[in-house]
Amino acid sequence: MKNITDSVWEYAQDNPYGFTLNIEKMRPVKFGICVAFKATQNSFGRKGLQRVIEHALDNDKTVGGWWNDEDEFFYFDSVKVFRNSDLKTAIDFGVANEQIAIFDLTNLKEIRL
Amino acid sequence: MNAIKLTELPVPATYAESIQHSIRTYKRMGIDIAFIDQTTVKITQSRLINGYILNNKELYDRAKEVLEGAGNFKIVPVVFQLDIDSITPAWIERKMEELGISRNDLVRQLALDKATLSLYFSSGRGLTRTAKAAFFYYFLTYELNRDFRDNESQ
Repeated sequence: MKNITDSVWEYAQDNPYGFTLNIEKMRPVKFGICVAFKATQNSFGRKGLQRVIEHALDNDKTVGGWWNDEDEFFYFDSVKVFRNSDLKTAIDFGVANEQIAIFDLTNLKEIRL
Repeated sequence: MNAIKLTELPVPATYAESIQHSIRTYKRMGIDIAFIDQTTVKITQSRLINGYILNNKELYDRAKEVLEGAGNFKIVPVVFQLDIDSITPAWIERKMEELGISRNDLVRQLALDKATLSLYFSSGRGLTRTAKAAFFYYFLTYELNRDFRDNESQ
């Protein structure tokens, strides 16, 4: 059986423009407000993914990723997903994690902090 | 026409970083924002990540927010456009399997007759652009229903 890093890496290759994935269910996250954890910022490549997965497994079990055209690396982050009704909590969490923005996936709308 | 880079524009440095961040984030979410020239920005919903199709005004508003404080730009919104060539008999069969839809369901719900449906699956003949679009949005309805319910039950 493939390990989780292999599975997410493969998923990333198939979705290079970007994805938000629940790694427990291996299904894309489509709703809610996504906030990245500061702890996994600037994680790239397979090594970075490994670190992100370890963090995600201990937290919200969600990984975001995208291909960066500029340096040609895959970047990953561990993400916490809030319900849309918990916007205030999501904003506070984003501020605590020093994010400049969070993303409302349900409404496809960035929220600057 | 090739897009030009943000760094080539007279955008104040205080705004450039957050604009670049927003452009990257929206790209991840299927929305491309590109500077066409010194004064024009194009915002395109190129992929559907959760079935939400933004209209012209919604795209315009998102670009306007991204560019707030960076200067005056003409914003050109481009709504999602279906890639009609990707709708093939094999794609339809995959979707039927994924969503648990039978041929009888298609006959009843898309007002198709059995002979026409057989023709679609055997040779793809008769599968017009309009029919392809109908299949796409039909399955999208099922997907959205499934995803909303999954989300609510979490």
